[in-house]
Amino acid sequence: MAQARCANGHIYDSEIYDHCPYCDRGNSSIDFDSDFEKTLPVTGNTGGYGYGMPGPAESVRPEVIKKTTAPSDYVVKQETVGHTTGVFTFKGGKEPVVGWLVCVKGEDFGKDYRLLGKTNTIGRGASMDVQISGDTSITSDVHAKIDYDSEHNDFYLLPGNNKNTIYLNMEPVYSAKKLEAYARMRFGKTELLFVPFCCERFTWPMENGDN
Amino acid sequence: MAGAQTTVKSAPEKLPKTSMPPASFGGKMIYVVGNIQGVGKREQQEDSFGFGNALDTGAIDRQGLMAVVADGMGGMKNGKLASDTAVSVILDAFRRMDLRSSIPQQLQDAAIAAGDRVLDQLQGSGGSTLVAGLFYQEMLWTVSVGDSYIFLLHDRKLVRLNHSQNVLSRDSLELIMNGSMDRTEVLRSPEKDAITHFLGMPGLDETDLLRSPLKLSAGDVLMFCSDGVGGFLSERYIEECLLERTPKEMCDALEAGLRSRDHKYQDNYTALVVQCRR
Repeated sequence: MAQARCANGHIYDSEIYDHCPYCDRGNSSIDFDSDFEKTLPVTGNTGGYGYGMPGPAESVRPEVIKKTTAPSDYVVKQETVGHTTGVFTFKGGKEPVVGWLVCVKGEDFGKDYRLLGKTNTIGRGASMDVQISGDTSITSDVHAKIDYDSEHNDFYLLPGNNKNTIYLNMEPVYSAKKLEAYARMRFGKTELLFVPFCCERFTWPMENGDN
Repeated sequence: MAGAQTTVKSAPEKLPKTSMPPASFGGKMIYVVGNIQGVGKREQQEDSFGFGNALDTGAIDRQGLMAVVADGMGGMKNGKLASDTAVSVILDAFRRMDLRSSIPQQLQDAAIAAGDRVLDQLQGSGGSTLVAGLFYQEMLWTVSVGDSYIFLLHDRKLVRLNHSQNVLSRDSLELIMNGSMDRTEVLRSPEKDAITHFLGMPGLDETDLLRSPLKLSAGDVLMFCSDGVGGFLSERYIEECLLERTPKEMCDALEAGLRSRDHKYQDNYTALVVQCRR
């Protein structure tokens, strides 16, 4: 037997195989029946169960096919995953951009933030979709939200989870307010303009996977 | 004394202190490796595995030998993708390791990084276990996540080096913490084998890590395997297999055992074997 190593780090007998049998998706192509005789060596090591009689496994295998899974209390909280699956997604789960916020006043002056096809959270914390990190008068959890409604191609600004007042075109916002292009909003000491990408001129196709 | 005649044999040559290894003829340790994998009675193979530097003794001297096995979770999405990713991230990290810095820290970081990559790909809906061993300067460091197995055969006796991170372990520990030793109910739970920690779960913060390396002796055999081996063969039988002469014979014996047992729902099986010799 001649040991060879394939590029994936598998060891195989190059006298038997031209290329690695494990790289063919690991379905061992060894013909069990003909090899069975060869693989029973004659050795003196036959304590206990002896050769060829493996004996029961430690944990009794149940009589149903057991596929490894997580416990029943395993719940994937969307926030913890880092980026959530959007209202619509391309193949591979990528979410398309639907608009932007651009900072025109405050610590992040000149910076743009991307809005995706879902409810975008806005705040100071790292887990926020739109992170405005420089302004301490913005809360670190959800200060405000902008929702994209793909059905009507509309954007809505909503207040966040806290008592901080947010302003749209200088008016305080207590419920969902539809956003027009270049609407000016204020969070804490930061002012941002809204720029839509999806509008009458362009919308992403509705079906998932069509990109 | 003058006149006394003794046959003076020249004293054995004093060996220079610096160079010789401890009294053994072989000198430095070499690692002989083998692997086996099969799909069992399942539809597809969701285990992945790989060695780093397996047949290259020069590279092993400089950078060590790595063995990795990952078992993709079949009851969730795309187990094969998860386990493939796990193996490549670990082998990639291994190639870039700085062996003068903390190896346990780097192994843990690599495992967490592998978990993050699987999480990116599968969004928490899929995962993989991991067992990995780094052999360097006659010492072994290991890391494990999930319910795959790391076995050591030392002095002709088998011992398991890692523990399974599953509901059975978690609930047993909870019972003990509450002062109970009665595991009947825990053992009856239908989800006792569900794994509580896996690469690809959000917030993976705990791996089963060897913080101090294991000192290896000539004759030691290490096996890294998925539960298609560890959960389907008795420890007694595995011990016998690892008593065979060479890794190839050990792997053949493991496979023959699974074959003869012929379990109705034989899981994907993968085993990597490393034999230490001088």
